[in-house]
Amino acid sequence: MSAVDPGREKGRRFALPGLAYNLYLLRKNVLTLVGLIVVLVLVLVAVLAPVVAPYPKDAFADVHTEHRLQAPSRSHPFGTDEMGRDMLSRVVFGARISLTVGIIAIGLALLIGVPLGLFAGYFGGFIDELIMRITDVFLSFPPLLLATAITAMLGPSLTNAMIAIALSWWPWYTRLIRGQAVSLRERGFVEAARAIGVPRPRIIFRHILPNAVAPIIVQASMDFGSIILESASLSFLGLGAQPPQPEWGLIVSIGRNFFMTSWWYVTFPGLAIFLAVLAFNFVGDGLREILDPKTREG
Amino acid sequence: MRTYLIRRLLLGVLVFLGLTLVTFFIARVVPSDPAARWVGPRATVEQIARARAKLGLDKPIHVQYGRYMADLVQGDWGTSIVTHQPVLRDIKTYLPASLELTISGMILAVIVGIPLGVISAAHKDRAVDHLSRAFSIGAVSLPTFWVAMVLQLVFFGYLRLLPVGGELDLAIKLAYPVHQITGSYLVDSLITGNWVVFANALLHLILPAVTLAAYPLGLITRMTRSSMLEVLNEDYIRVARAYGMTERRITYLYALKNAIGPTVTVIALTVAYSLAGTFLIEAVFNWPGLGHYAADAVLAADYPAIMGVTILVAIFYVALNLAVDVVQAILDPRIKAA
Amino acid sequence: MPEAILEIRDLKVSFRTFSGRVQAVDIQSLAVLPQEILGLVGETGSGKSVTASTVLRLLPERKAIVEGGPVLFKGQDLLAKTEAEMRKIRGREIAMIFQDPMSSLNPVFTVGEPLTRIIAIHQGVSLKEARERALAALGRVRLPNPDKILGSYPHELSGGMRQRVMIGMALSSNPDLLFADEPTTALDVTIQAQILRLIDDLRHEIKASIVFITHNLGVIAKVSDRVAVMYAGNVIEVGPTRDIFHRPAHPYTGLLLKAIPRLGETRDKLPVIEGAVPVIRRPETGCYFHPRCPRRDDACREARPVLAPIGPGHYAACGKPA
Repeated sequence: MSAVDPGREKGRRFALPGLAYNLYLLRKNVLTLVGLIVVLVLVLVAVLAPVVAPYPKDAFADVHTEHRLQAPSRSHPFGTDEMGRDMLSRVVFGARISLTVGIIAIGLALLIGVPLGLFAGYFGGFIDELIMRITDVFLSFPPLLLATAITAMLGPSLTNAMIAIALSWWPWYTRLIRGQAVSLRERGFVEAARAIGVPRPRIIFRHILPNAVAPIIVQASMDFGSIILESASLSFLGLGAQPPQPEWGLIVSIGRNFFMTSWWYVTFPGLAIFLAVLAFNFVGDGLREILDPKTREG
Repeated sequence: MRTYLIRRLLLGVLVFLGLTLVTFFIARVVPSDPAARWVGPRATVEQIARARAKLGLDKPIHVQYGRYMADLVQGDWGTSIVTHQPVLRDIKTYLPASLELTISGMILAVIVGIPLGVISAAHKDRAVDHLSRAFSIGAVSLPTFWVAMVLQLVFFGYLRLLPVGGELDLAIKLAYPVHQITGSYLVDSLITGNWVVFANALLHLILPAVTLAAYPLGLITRMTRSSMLEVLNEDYIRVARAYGMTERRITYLYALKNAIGPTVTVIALTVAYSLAGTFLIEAVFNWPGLGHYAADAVLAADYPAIMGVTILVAIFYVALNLAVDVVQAILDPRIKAA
Repeated sequence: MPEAILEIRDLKVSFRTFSGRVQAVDIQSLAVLPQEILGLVGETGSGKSVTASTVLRLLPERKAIVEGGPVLFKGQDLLAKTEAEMRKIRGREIAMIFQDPMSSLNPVFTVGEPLTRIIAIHQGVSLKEARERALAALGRVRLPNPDKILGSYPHELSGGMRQRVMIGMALSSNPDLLFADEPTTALDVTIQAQILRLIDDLRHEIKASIVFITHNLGVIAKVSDRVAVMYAGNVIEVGPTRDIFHRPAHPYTGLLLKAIPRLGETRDKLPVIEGAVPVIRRPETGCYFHPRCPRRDDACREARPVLAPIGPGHYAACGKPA
């Protein structure tokens, strides 16, 4: 017989406690937990980079040609590059760049995508049709090629890479928000607001937007890994970060000239990209699993 | 069914037109002057003006677009500013290698990804499921350019098992000329029975194809797993069990046919994207594909070439979407009825 | 009492969940007699469907814990059978009809695909022969034009036709026992009546015992020979339909009957049974029903009553039966 609280006399209704249940699902999902821990470590490393990195100055333009292309050792655990800079320090500082780029690029994409999605969903009709066809056009293009084209046009720099990523990414958010807005438009509280004459912009931004925020945040956090990957790819192409910035993709790109003889040159920064993206994807995947009503069973 | 497909086709044409419009206008606001590029850095002002007139750059932009579209339909896709070759001819040169790479990568991704997703779903929350989820998320998290280099380092640098890049060894290319039919060394050598070339081409294909397969493999596994999970909860699956059907039959026939739809969409989309979107892989492996061509065109602001590639990708995108619609209708009779 | 076709003794089923184990079924005793229709009634969550799934061994192994038993089917313990042995029993000796005929049929296959396949598997005949038998099975459930129906997709059939297909499939291999789990609940009232009539007709043609699971007492009164009432996973009263309806012994049964609305009756309020079914947490001691029971006394809190005879073939698990 069940050993839990007998709940005598009153046939007490059993409700799943929200937080506890979510934590339970999280605990059940080892991958998510691992991802979460790695993400936290990554954020810590990024914030404390000057403290964590053994040779903080090496992260940028310092040159020690006498330590050129040294294999990993006790003093340089990840080895050194062609200018004798400590690879570990550069990888540590790279975390700062990747996280910052991710946050800004997603922010920009949301800034474009969310209002358009709200307008499309709320107004419907021609505006909806127009905006959605534009997203179709953007989505029919290979994402990386689109971002590459935009950066090529704007000129290679980290800032332009972020803009390019945002410009190739916003349609996903527009689609998501549009769906939310369409269903929220018909809901009672929106009808009520309309009935008492609340102006449209206020309905859209004060009544619909706050109710659509949760799925946006979830989606954005799930996309974080892909965004980091895309920015590293652009930097690899020479269209993002520029030397001497310790951007992971850029380091791998420069390492192409040396990697057959100095295996550590591309291995560690590449591994850093992989682990960062992997961790965010683990978290994103777990988030989806946890929030999916279909997996939320007993 | 027919009206459904016609509607989808019209929608596809609309997207296609929108795409040409957008890329055309984007290509025209490129800051650098294509005409100056066309004639080279030492050109005089008159030469540039002549080039501008020749390229039609002196006309109003909507006239340029109209002319461009008219030429396009007649098979004149413009002339590349970089290669000075007709864009369509360039595409014919580069497309076979891209198709070869994309298709072999996708075959790899499909034959591993679908069974893996199915097995994962059928054993939800068990060790094999955790492993396959970790594997599939890992696959989509890999930076392709880095994987490519690591594979080169291991299989060429250390093991000396596979070539570092390219489509074919130069010595073999010279010693065993291939009769060109499709433009793909692999296919042409197979058709003509040129086994030395075929083996060599196959060896060259392995690393790029594996690299390309990683991302779609992860995507297909995840997609298959999640739609299978949904289907396995359906009543008709319980019914099939209640009537003594074997798990294998239930999983691979009754459930999979219901669950495969979204995976088919993912596959088609990835093929369309991969044709010109895999330039990172093509760059590292020195693979003479369309992505290579596209990336070069983008970097050189070679707008006729950019337009050409864009249009090709759009055609593939629309055609593949249409093919997906047909496949979905075949898989699910409810769509056919609608 | 004739030899039972199915006999359940001391069966306990619980599920592993986030908050620990949850007991869904706790049956002291339940028997199904040859060629009878046994109505299994109870509120949602009282364990009716879980009982059927347990007999067919369809519960997810990792989540469900089945204890006690035996569950004797034709004298053999189903709980001791291997999965392969069970597959031969499912659909052949024990069949099941489900609530929603739309979701019970695979939308991307013609209805003939599973039907023919099941016949081929269970009767060991070729697909061609199976098809002939499938046509006969559809004819038996009074479906006109069985040839066309066999090649139809579920969405092309009406709700009533779909449920007839399901019944045809259930009876195709002449099972000894048929579970009908709310077979009419998802249907329109007129279709409901037709399906009930069909079941009533067929019971004379086939030799199967039918366990008719429903929460609808009106339906039970029409079709069943005997009724078993379930409460909180437990069979609390069982007896001939007439006795259950006219002389309910368990206070819960009495309250359940009072809650049926009747035509032409004017009442301000439908009577309700105070409290909720304690599906997940139930009293640790005493009668499961005592927290809600109007007749309870101290003894009800202490000892758990067992099924005891009230009249001929009529048993109730109550310390203070009416």
